[in-house]
Amino acid sequence: MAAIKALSSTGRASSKRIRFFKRVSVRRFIHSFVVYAVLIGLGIIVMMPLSWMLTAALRGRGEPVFTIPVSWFPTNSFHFENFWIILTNDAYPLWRPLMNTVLLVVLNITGVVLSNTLVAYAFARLNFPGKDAMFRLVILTMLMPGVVLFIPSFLLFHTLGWYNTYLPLFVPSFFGAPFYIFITRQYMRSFPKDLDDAALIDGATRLDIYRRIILPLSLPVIIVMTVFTFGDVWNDFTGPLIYLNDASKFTLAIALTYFRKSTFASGVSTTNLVMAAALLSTIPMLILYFSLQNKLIGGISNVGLKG
Amino acid sequence: MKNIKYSWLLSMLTALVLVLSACGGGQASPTTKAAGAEATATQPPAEEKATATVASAETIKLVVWDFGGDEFSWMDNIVIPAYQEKHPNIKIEHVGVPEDELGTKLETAIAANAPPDLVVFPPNRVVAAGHALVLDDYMARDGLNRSDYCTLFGSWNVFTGGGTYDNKVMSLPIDTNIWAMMYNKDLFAKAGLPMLGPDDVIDFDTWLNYARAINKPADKLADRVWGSNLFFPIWNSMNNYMSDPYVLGDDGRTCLGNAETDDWVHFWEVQVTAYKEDLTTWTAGSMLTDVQEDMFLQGKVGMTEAAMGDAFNAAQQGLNVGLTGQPVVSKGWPGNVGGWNTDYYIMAATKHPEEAWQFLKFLSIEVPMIVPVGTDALAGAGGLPGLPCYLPLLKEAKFQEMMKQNPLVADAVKLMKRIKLPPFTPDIWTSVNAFNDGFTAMTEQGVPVKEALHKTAQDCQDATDQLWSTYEAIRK
Amino acid sequence: MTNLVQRFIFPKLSGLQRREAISAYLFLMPWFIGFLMFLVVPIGMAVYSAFTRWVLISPPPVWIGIANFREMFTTDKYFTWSLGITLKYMAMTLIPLMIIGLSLSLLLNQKLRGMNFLRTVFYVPAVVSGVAVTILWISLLDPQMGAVNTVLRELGVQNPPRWINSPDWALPSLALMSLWGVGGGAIIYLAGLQNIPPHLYEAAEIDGANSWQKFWKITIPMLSPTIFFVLITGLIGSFQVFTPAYIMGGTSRFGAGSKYMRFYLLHVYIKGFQEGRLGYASALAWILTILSAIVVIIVYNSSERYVYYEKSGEGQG
Repeated sequence: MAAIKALSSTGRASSKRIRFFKRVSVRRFIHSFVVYAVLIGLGIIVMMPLSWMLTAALRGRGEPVFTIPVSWFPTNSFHFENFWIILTNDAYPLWRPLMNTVLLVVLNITGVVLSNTLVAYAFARLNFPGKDAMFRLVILTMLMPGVVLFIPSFLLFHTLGWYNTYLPLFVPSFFGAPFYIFITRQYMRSFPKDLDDAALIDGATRLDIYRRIILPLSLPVIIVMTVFTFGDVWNDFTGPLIYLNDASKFTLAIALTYFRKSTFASGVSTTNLVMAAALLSTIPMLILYFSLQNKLIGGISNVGLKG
Repeated sequence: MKNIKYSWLLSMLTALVLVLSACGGGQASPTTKAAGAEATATQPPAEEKATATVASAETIKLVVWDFGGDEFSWMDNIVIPAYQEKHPNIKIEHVGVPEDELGTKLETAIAANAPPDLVVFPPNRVVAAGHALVLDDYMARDGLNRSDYCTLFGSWNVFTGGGTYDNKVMSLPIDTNIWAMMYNKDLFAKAGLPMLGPDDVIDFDTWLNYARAINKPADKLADRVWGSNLFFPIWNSMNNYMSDPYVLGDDGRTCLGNAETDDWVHFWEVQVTAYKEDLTTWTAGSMLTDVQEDMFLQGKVGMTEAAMGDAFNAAQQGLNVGLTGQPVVSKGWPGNVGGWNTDYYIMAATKHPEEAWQFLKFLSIEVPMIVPVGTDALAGAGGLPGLPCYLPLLKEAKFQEMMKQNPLVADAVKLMKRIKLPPFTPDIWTSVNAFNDGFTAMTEQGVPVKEALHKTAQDCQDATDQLWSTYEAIRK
Repeated sequence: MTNLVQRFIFPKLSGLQRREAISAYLFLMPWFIGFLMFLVVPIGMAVYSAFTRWVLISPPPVWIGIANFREMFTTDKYFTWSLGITLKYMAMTLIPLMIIGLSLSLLLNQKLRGMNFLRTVFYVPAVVSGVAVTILWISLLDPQMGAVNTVLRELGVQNPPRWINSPDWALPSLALMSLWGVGGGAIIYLAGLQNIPPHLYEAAEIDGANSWQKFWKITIPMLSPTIFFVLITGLIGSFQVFTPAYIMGGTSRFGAGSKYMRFYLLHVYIKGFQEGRLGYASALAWILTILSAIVVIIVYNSSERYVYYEKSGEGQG
């Protein structure tokens, strides 16, 4: 009886009896509050080391970076010119490596998105003899540690005449990568098969289905691949180092290591510059990630299960 | 359908254009100082001097690899312009390769038949396999003697990179640096300790007592003062031959026995004591020494391992420091200073050995005169951190003045003479790496020193045997 | 392709299926060509080199039969040791990090204001370069002066762990560093979460389900393909840990660093690049490949039982 009374919306006396914590608006408020509290609390903990990095990055030349007590925030040193030094010093101006890296990133993202969606589409939506075996082969290739393929690949590229060019650094991305094939296939498998069937009945070719239906739906996983590829190529160090002999071709990751003090150099510590360079280098990736997040939302909500 | 074809075509074309531009090598480098452009035999020389004599068709390109960055910026800023002015037909391309990767990059370049002409600090394997040019004949022809060079020239290992290997000269050094001990004079005075100079030799018992006198435990870290930084044995006593016998023995092959002498046992016991009494700033077992350096710079540490530049920097930061040798493991052993040279090697596969040799000679004999060195280097121009290894240069006015003005420089020169050359071994670092873990066993795991040391000596022996067998398989 | 040829190659399929198969093969072309061009030859070389003694700058490789494998199981002290370290780390971090990553992304998936910013905050650690991260964490974990121990002491802990110096706390140091970067993988979970049709939740609400039930009956099953994927890649990744160990373990060209962080791949790297023995390194790597293949196959085959895919027409597994 009390319950029915509580549910009825007549009479202010009875609505007051609705238990406070059962009210939707209150629950929603508590829910948001808890989520915010946890995230902001954890977020602060995560940001503290970065704040330390910033403090270190703003230290002047020769100033101690490691202090007691630990300096979390820049309080007495604000040498913002460190960032300027990194970008414009004479010995290794960064604009050229930056452009080189951007070029490589664009090429790699293009290759990754194109090739992996094509291949994953076949595994996810089509049937053909040998499908399982081939997919297992793809997975197995993921198991080979890169370290051991490193030198043989190097010798292969050298035999092809690709040494000292950018080719080894982006051509392979146009041929699919097991990791990306895997995640894209997983993602594509979750769409209802009826979509394909309906389109086929309407006379579309497989390519059409791929281009018009599956590809747009796969936007979230494409974004994932884009962000990962961007990060890999932006920070890739060993590849460019080994395959490129001309300093004019070097990438950003290599140029930034010049700030690291050599074991043999003595005198002034360069930890401040290392931290400043590291922070600068994260900015483009953060911008990319931040702006692409909205595209992650969408997905299946666009797909109506028609009939 | 048409739309698909059109946009595909467009993307393919764009990619093609991008690819071609990438392969083509792009535009010339904007900096005029770095001669990094794609030089071909027909490329005209830099337009800075309107010389009537245009370079003859024979423009020779020399490729030089080192670590780049601040510490080699003198190459781009001073040396290359000066050299190219003297020799307009030579084009020097300077490539900076990060230190930890230089070895791998060099080896892959050798495998790809595209090594540089000159390179700094190659892995010892590379030299052992015969890829470096032997320089004895060139030296004899041009009247350069080994005796004109500092002590380290006669040794050879991966770190010091000294000049000779298998008694053949493989490289010429530009500068030499000492690895010694720097101490805070104010802290010493406060603790009533004597001032030490380049002629003093202390052992580890003395070190322990000094550290105890200076050490001030405190509840608040801000008041804390440490007796000393840890003298990592691998970087110091082992690598720099501060014990008698040498940790790997006279033949450079035998850890067992040589690394476990009574002197060494005593050394490790002192280290464990210092650890237990919390006398040192010892940070994680990695190579990161920045924390230790910074603590010293804040006046919180009594003694630390230091190169010349560290001492100069500390003095510039306002600390009252002195330079002396490091503690020795064996009483009475005079070798209490280590060091290294910055050596450039010529690759045997070079197409221009004579031109490379001329440049190398220039680096060794003339460059220390035209580049800021030592204390001047810290002024920001980016110079050489050490003093010339070519000894006649030290008599020049530039260095005589420096020694008069700055007592630390004079001390450094004296300390240079104390260096003892270790016997040859293929790779001292890999050999003695086990002592890192040995120390952990002695300290964190409470294993008795003698027992832990014996096990570590065994590990060291295994590693060394393996290294020698690989080395002997490839040496030429 | 003529009908005759098609019938010859795929006699058991109907015309429609045949066309599907051919389309499929065309779509697979990029991977297949890449496999032939860039993988087969290096893999072949890698297999061959495992039976040789080979130093890069002193060619050619010399055939020595199974000597490398014999050495591995008899004289190499670090073989079983490094395998142990790798497995220990895997046990310590694989499942916990997955759970934490999933929880974090569930929180980040809420439709509240400022989520974009918060997600980016958690993503930053994944983007900072390795060298900087190492210097950062080595200084944070310094036993005497590091921030972590300072905080622990203020919380009353008498003898805080000596982190990287200590045999027992070396691996947890690495785990801590990985934990810091857990937000980097959240993006995968987020993509998976976005893929769950909201109408399922709406239907459940109408039926009177509470949050707990919604989570276990809808979210988890619908997310199971993603979770499965993260598990597999996490497993493979655990076997192949390298960079954090290389940097934090103190490995450089001057030594192999602490043995308490000597992961298997680090051991491979040291043998191959520091000591220059490419043949032996190759043999080591193959053992790892075989081992991880066995584990992955077991996990993959058992996935049928707990991974759920949209039923309409597609088979399982």
